[in-house]
Amino acid sequence: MASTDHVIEVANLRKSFKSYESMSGKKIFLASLRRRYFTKHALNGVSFSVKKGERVMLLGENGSGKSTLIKIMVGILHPDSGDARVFGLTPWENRIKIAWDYGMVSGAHNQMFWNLPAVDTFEYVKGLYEIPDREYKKRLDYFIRILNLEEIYKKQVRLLSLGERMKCNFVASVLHLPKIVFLDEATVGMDLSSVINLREAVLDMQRTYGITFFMTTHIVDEIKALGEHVIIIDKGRVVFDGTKSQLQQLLGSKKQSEIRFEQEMVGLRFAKYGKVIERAPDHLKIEIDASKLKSKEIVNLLNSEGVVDYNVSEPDLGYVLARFYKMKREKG
Amino acid sequence: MSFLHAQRYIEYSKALLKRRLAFKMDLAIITFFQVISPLVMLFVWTAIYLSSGVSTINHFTLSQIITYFFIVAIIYAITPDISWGVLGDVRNGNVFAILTRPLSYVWTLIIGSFANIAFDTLAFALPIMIILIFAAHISLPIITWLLFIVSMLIMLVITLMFEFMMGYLAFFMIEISGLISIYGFVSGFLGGSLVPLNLLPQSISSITSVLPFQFMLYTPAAIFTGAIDAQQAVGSIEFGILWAVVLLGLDFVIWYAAKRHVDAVGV
Repeated sequence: MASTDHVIEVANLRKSFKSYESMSGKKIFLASLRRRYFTKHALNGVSFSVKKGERVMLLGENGSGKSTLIKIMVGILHPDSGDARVFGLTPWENRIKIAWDYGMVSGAHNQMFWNLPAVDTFEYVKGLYEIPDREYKKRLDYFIRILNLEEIYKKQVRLLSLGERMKCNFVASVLHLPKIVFLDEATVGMDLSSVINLREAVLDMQRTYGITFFMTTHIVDEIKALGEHVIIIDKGRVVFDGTKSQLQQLLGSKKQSEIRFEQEMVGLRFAKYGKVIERAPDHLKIEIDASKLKSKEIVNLLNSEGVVDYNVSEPDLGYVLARFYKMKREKG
Repeated sequence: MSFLHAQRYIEYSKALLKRRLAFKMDLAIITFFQVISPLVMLFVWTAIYLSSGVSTINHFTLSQIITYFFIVAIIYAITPDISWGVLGDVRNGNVFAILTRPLSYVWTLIIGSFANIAFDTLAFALPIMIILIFAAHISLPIITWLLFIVSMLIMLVITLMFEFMMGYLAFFMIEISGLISIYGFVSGFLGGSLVPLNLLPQSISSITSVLPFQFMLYTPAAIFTGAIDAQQAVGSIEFGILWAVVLLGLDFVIWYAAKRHVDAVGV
């Protein structure tokens, strides 16, 4: 399975958890005693590979198995069966070895020392990975500048806001310039300018140091800005593995058209040609088959009186994803 | 543990101690309590001796009893709360922060415990010991000092093994605060935290004499106060070493089983 240009290779991973749900009832005491046990199949045979220096977006709805997959890849969960290699090593057998070369940022877990200033965690990371003084200062200055940390990095972590803490978490996880960075919903709570700066930092780090990024998010703008290689999992199975543009073509030859008009009546004429996505008194957004767009009927209609403006574009990524998830749910 | 990168555990321990020193008021309160607790026993036992009108109880003089409880206080001061620490790590997800670094969780606990023991020895145990030696004019033969130090080392190994076992349980059961409290009371009582074990009724002391809890408080304190002589102390230490080896083996078995249970905590 070893291949030199792949940093991650995963084959047929399976993982189940035993869990229980309380039987609902009015009697609290009895309800806590009556439990229904069940097995949740978090991963049902997941396979994919990641090349060195790629930016991978792992997508999927809540509970689809994304975090479980990442925990297996960083070596803290054992799968029930299947194989995985990170830098050519089995992660759950070589966790400490591979941990030198990855960074992990999770929106659900704090990496900082709660009652100490953020800079103390950074110093700890410096000591842990034996980062030379000058190099540490250079890297810290870089992150302080791009993530606007000047005002916050000397404050106690417990006094920081969620977004500020996430920025510090990010720095603490990448200060050692790992070969691969796992970002599991890492921008949760961050303000807009920080999110944009963090995206730039990701792109810059990938360009400058050839770092591979493996990310999960539910934010469409983030997928647009950072996704190169997209993997979608659903109910523990890979249901899409390809590029971002391949993902956008998932809906076949569908295009999106936004038409602006003076009177609502004009707009209504378009509704029958496609699926209405958005509707307002002065504009309409429809999903329309590319072949229909070229028909004389539509061309004439678009150029008729009352139409102020129109555009045709590839379907919006968020819309494609929502349709895709819905399709999968309906198929069951 | 690879000794090539042993430095990382020193870094971890440094951060651990920094975190302890972050809350100065809490540290001051703990220091105050550590010094006060043997004084409470001083008042209680003085009252017992005065009211009963005897000068010795089961060969224990009042000053020996007071010394005994000062040693108990020293032992409590340097015993790290690993079980509470693991429970906290499991509850607040700290395990995740350690396991995503090139660190072994068990080694962070072990090295972290040594750092805490060193800190507590310097901050609490030595000052209490110095006060005790000067206030009570204690002068012990060198052999007693040696036996005392060896019994303190056995005390640390056995206590740490029990603490680790309780910590591992946190991975299985998630919520173990009730169990830790019960363990604290039972091990304390059977170890001699309330009454020196040789003052307990024969039926109870015959049970405690085969259990490992005696080595966690009673044996070092009894050696220091002279309640047991050098020959008895050597025999006791040998038995203590046997228990330490058994518990060490048991810990390895439990850790092997607990390792995979990291899954269960959902880190």
